[in-house]
Amino acid sequence: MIESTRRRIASGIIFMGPALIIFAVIIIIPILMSAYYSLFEWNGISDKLFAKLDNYKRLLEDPIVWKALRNSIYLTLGAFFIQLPIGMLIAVLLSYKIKGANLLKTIYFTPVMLSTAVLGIMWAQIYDPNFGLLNSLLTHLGLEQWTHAWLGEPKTALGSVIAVVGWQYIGFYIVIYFTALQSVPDEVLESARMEGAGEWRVFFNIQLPLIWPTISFTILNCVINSLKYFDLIYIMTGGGPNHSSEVIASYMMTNAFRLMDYGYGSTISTFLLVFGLALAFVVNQLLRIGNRKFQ
Amino acid sequence: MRLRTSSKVIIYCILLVHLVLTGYPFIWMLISSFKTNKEYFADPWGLPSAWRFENYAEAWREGIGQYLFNSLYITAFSVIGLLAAAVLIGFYLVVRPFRGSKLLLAMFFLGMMIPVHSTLVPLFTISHNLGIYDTFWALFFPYIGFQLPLATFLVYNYFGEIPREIEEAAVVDGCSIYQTFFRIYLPLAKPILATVTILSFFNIMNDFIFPLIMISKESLRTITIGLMMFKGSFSANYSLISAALVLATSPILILYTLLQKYIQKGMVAGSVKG
Repeated sequence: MIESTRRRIASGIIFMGPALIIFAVIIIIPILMSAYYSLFEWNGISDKLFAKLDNYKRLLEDPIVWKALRNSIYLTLGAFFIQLPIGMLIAVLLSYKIKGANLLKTIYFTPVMLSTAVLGIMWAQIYDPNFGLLNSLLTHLGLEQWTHAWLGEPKTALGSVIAVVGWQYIGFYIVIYFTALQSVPDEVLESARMEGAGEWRVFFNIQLPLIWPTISFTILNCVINSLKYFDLIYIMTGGGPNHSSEVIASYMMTNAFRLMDYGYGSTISTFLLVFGLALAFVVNQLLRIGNRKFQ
Repeated sequence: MRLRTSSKVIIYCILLVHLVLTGYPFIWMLISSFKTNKEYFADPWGLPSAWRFENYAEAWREGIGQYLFNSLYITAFSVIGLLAAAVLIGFYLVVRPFRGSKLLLAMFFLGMMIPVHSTLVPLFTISHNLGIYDTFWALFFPYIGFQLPLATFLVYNYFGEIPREIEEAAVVDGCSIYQTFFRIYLPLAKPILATVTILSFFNIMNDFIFPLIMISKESLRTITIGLMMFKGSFSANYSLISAALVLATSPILILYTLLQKYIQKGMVAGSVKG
């Protein structure tokens, strides 16, 4: 096709310019700046003081960072083991041509669309130690000794938040798995059943392998997203009590924006980024191995 | 296939339990919003003695209406900006691939994995330096930026499936790249633009982090931050907070009732295609 170089460059700028500029300014440059800031002692107001790798030394010696890392891993595992298996179970059950399946799916999906602000506040009311639904339910059932100040006690705070994180996204995976299961032809399942395969075998030997690409993507999605659950923690516990529900993102926010320690905050940010990418890479590699097994 | 009655009962029981777990908290929130605070404290499970709308009126007066409007406003403009940016670059990468365009796409793909929080300190300082801190733009650009990788990906994949012969024929007929874009590709892009709109609408509307960092004046507060502040000021008035939550949820629920099929499809589009 004939097009002068000048016009070609002009069209390139017009078509790609807006996206590239925004992508660079909002994502690429901040990541580099964050790594740069992490080498300084800086409160945002006075001059930056070059601190070499002091912040990283501090990071490695900071017990709360390790606690937050451990909590992040718990959160990831919790989200993973609540969302995916329950999502799959419900999707499989719905695909038995259940009456009202569509309506049920619609209702199950509702929490996915709502903001964590709404859900966090709602669940904080449910967990309320004095007037909350949960304690009231336990009392009615005669299980008074099980009542807790769910979000106020170090032992239960993280678990209570994990339950909400899990709860919110089950519907997301129900819809994904249900759609994937619909793509498996009925004849395949029927002929397996005719030959005497039980439902468990039908699931594990036919449906599961056939929708494995979808499953492997949901695993990756679930793990990556679980690093982003800062909102719910901020709203429900603020990372407390006594850092018992702190995750890396919330600890970074506290340091950077409450304690105005931009240098150290940026160090934690950089750590979060590296950790996130490493995690995505590892999970991706593991899934590749899984994919080979199934194909 | 036919199920035995006993298995049917078990299936329905499991589905029902999950239905109650998912739905009851919302019904409870709705019921609580009609109660007086006294009734709420007396019995969290009970029904209100009368269906009162005072809580709604008060919540609306105390700013929930304004916050909702702010959220819808910023979301609408950010989505429009996002659609424009994504469809332009997606189109160009499909019809004029160049050396490095694959690398560019890979970078965008990596962009999807970046936790928002790892960019916040610099975004905060950049917004101050550009003088856009505490303005509409301090939300607008980050929203486009963080939705862009996935949006570009979806558009790129979609345009990639359109046979290239169409574009070649257009060129033979003397269409410039702009005409090709406006006359051929853009009209074909409606379905994917609808998907991107749905996906980004919810992500932006429900975002909590950018208004938290970038906005301090009340007149720009979005609904997510507004609810937090609201809860802070009325922390003991649980039934009033419930009404605020119902108000904050209602536009989304109305939209969902009207467009549920599209919304479910749109929200999971990012993952299924991946």
